[in-house]
Amino acid sequence: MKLEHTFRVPADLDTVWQAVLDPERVAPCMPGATLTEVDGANFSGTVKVKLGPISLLYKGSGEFLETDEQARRVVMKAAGKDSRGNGQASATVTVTLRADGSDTIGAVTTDLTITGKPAQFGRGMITEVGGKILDSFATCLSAKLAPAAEDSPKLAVVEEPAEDSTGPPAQTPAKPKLEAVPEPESEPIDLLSYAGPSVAKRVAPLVAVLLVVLAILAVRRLSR
Amino acid sequence: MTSTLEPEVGKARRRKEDARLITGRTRWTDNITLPGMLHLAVLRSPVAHARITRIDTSAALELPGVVAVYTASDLDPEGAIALPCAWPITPDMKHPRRPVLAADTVHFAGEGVAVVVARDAYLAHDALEAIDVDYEELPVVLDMEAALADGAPLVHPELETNRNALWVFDSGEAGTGGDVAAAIDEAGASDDAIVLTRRFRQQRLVPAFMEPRSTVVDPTGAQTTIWSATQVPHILKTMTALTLGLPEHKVRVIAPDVGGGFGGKIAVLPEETMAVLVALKLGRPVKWTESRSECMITAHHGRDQIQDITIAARRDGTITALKVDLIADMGAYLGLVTPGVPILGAFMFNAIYKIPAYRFACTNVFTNKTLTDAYRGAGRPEATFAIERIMDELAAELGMDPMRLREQNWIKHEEFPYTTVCGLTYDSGNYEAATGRAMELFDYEGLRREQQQRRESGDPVQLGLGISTYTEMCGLAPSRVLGSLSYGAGGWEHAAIRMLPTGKVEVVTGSSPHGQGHETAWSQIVADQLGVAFEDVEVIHGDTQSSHKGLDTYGSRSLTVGGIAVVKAAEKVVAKARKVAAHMMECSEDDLEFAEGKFTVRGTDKSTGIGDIALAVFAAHDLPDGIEPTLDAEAVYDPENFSFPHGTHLCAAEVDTETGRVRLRSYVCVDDVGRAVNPLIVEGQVHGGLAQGIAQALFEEAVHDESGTLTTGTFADYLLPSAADLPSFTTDRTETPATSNPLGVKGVGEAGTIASTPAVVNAVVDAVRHMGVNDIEMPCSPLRVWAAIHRRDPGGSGIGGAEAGGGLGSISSTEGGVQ
Repeated sequence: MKLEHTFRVPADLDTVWQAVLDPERVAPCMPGATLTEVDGANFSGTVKVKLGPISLLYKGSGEFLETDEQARRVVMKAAGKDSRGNGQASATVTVTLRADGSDTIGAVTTDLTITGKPAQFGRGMITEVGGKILDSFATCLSAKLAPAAEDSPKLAVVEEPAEDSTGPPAQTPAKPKLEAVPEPESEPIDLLSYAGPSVAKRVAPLVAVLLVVLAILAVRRLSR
Repeated sequence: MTSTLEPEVGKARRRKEDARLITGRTRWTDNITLPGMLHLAVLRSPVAHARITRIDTSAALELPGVVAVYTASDLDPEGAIALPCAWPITPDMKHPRRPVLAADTVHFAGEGVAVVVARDAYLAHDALEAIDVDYEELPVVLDMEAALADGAPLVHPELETNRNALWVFDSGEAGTGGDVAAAIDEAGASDDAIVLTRRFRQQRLVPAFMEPRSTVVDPTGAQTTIWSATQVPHILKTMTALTLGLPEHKVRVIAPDVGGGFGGKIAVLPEETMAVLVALKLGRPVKWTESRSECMITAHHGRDQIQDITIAARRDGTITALKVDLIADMGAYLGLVTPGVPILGAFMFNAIYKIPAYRFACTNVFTNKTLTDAYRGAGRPEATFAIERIMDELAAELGMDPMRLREQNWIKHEEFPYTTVCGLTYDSGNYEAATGRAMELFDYEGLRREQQQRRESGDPVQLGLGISTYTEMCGLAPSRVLGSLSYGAGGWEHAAIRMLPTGKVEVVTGSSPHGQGHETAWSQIVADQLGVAFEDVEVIHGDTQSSHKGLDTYGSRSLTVGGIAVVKAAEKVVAKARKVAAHMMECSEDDLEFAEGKFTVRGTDKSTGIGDIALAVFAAHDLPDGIEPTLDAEAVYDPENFSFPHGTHLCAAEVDTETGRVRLRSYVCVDDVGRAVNPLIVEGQVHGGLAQGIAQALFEEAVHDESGTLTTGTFADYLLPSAADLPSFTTDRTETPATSNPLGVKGVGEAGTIASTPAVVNAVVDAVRHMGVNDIEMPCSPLRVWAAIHRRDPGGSGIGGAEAGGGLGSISSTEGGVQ
C-alpha cells in the first residue's frame, strides 16, 4: 500500500534535516513508537497499536537506507512483527525536504505492507488515519524544533491523496488540516479513535459514508 | 398401518429428524465431552508465503493448563505425512505435499504452524499468543494469470511451475463430435455466421456452512474413534488409515448430526489428522473446534475460475461450435478432489443444447491462497453460468429473443435418450414443458412490455429479464466413468435392511446426511417397499461401526444412488420373506402376491404379514430346509448413468441506474427432478439452492489483499444474504421420471444453486444492456453495476473488486485505499 503525505514545520531546512536524520529526535514523535536502541544507521524499537479489541505491539528494527544531503532526501526501512503473533508490518519511508520561506515542507512517501489481523480488520482505515498520524508527527516535531516562544504553533498540513488511478473518487482520503494535539509518546495509537470523532469534524462526508455502511451492516444483522 | 394404504413416496412429510435438530436435543461434535479430554488450538500463519526461520514454543509451555505444544517436527519428524488428493486428473499432474503442519515454509495465510494442547479451549487459545515464530517473507502470487506468467514467483519451487495440470476434452479427438477449430474458422469466414468470444469471472466463494468444523478423537478404546463434522465419514476412515499407516480395522469414524456442508466438508483435514496424531501421542482424547474466522480462512473455498468462452453460430441462431478455455485456482494445495472440481464442469458447458463441435481445456493453477475444492455444484454451476451467459450474449448479437435462441438449440423431448457432444447420454427430460410452465408463471411477455415502456420513458429504474435453462449431471457416479476420469474411488452406495422380530425395520445407509432429510426420505421409500408404517422405520447412518460401508454424501448422489441401494436391499428382503411365506401358508411361491406388507395366496383370502414372517424367522422353529433364519439383506448399487435434472429459471431484476442497486422483482423456477419422494424436502432444497446461487450473483466474494490476507474473513465483510435480501420464490415442478433407476428420481441438492446464478446476472445485464453494458462481474454489487453503467467499463473489472461485502476490510488484491 502506497501512502503520500506532506507536512510543514516552522523551522529552517537545515534544522529539520538534522532532526530527521536523528532517530532519537524523530522516533518519539511517531505516535505509539518507542526507540530502544540506536546504532549508527540502524535503530530498533517498538510500536503499540490498538485496533478496537485487538492491541498489537510491533517489535522491530529499521535502518537509514539512504541519506542524500544534496537532494535533502532520506530513505528509511523499518520492519517489525507483533509480539502476539498477530502479523507483521514493514514500511519503506522516503522523506524529502524543501524550504518554503522560513518553513520547511516535508514530502513523505510510505510503502506499507501489513499482514494478519490488522490487515484483515483494519486495512480499510489505514490510508484514512495515515495522514492523521503524520499530523501528530509534524506537530510533535514542530514543538520540538520550534523555540518555546511559539508553544502553540499555527500550522497547516496539506495532505495529497495517495495515487489511486483505479479507485472511484469516493476512495480518496480526506484532506485534514493540522490540529495541535501532541500525542503522549509511546501511548498506543488507537486507530479507531484516529478514525473516529476527531476526524469526523473535518472529513464529515467520508465519515458519513462510513456511517451509512455501518448502518447498512447493522440493519443487515438485525434483518438476520 | 394406514400409512401403507396410500403410498408414502410423494407425500410432503415433515422431516422426522427436525424435532431433535430444531429443539437442540441432538449432539453435535463440539458437544461431545470425554473423560480426561484435552483441547487443541492451532497457531496459524498470518503471512501468505514465508520461510519459517524459528519457532519458540517455550513460553507457551510455561502457561498454566498447557499440556503440550507441537510443531511439524514433533508430529511428523520425517516430513512423510501427506494429506490425500483422491483425484489425479492427469498422469503428469503436479502435486505438492500437503502437510499436517507447515514445517519450514507456509504457503497461504492461515496455514497451521503449531498446535497447543491444553486443559480447556480458552487456555489453549491464550497460549497461541505466547508462541514466537519468525517468518522470512517470500514473494506471493495471487492472480491466476500472473502465476502462469514466465518468471512468476513459485508457490511450490520444488514443482518448478505454478501449473497444476492441463486437462482437455475435444469432441473431435474423442469422436463424439466435430472439430471445433474448423467449425469456428468456417463461421468466422462466413457472412452467414458469427463467432462470439467472452471472458467471464467466477469469483471465489466461502461455503459458509452453519456448523464450523470440529473433531474429537478418542484413542483409548480398542478402535481409535474419530468424531467429525464431516460429509464423508467412510472416506475419512479409509484415508486416515492410508495417510497415517494405521490398520483400517482399528479406526472408527462417527459423523453425528452435521450442521451443513455444501461440499465444504468433503475433506480429510490437516486438523483431523493432527488430532489423531496428538491423541495417539498422549493417549488421551482430544477435541478441536474452529472459530468462524478460522473456518473462513482455512476451510476450502469454492469456484474461482477465469472462463474464456467462444461460441460460433449461424445467423439463424443455430449453434455450430463451442470452445471453452478455463483457468482454475487451486489455491496453495490440493484437497480431496480439488483438481477435479473444474473437470466436473467439462461435460456440462454444452448443457441442454445440440452443439456439433466442442472443446474444453482447463489449466489448474497454484496460488498463495486458501485451497479450493467442492462447493455446492462443484464445476457445474461454473459451466452453467458460462453457457447461459453466452447464450444471452449471442441472442443480443443476433438480435434474437434469448428464449427463442435456446428453444432453437435445445434437445427436444422426443429426442431422448440423447447422446451429447461429450458422449453423455441424457436419459430423459422435457425442456419445452418446464419452460412453458415457467413462462406462464412469470408472465414473460408482460414483463418484456414493461421493460420496453421503462426504456422509452427513460425510467431511472430499469427492468431486466434473465433466463437460465439448465441441466446438470449429478448422482455421482457410475464407477466406470469415475475410473475413466482417474478418480480414486468408485461411485456405488451401500444399504442394508434389518427386519426386527417385532416387525419394525432398521435401515442402514452409507449415505451420510448433514441436513438433507435422508431419515425421512429413506423411511418413506422403505415403508412403500416393505409395506410397513413410516413410523416403524429407523434409519442408521454416519458411524462406520454400524454403517460399515459407504461412499457418503455429495454431488446430489444420496437418493439416486443411496436411495436406490435401499430399494435393492428391500427387494432382497421381500424375496427371502416370500420363501418363508410360501412355507408358512403351504403354497407355491408363484401363488403369492406381495402388496401393502402382506403375502396373499392368489385367489384366496389367506395372507401373512411381513411382520409375522419376521417373528417366525426370529423363532426359526419351522423354516424350509436350507433357509437361513434371517430376512436381513444388503445391497450395493452402482448406477449405470448419471442423473440429469433440468429446469427453467426466470428472474426479473430492477436496476437503479443512478445508484447501481439491484432489486429482484420476481423469481420463477420450474425444475424437473423426476419423481419427488418428498415434495417438501425438494422444495427446501430448491429454496436453499436459489439463495446460494443468487448470493454468488449479487453478494458473496472472498477477497484477498495484495499480500494474501483474506480481507473478507468475517460475516460483516463476507456478505451472506438474509431472507430480507431475497424475493419470495415462485417454484413449480414438472415430472419426467428418470429411466435410469427404479424410482424414476433425479438429484435435487445442487439444482437451485447451479441454475440461479446466470438467471440473475442475465437479468441485471439485460436491464442496462441498452446503456452499452454487456457484462458485469460478480458479485453485481451497486458499485460494480454503477461503474459498468457510468464508466462503460465492461464487467466493471478492475474496480468492483474493491468491495466484496462492503465491510471495513474489503479491498481488492490490486489496489489499496479506503473502501
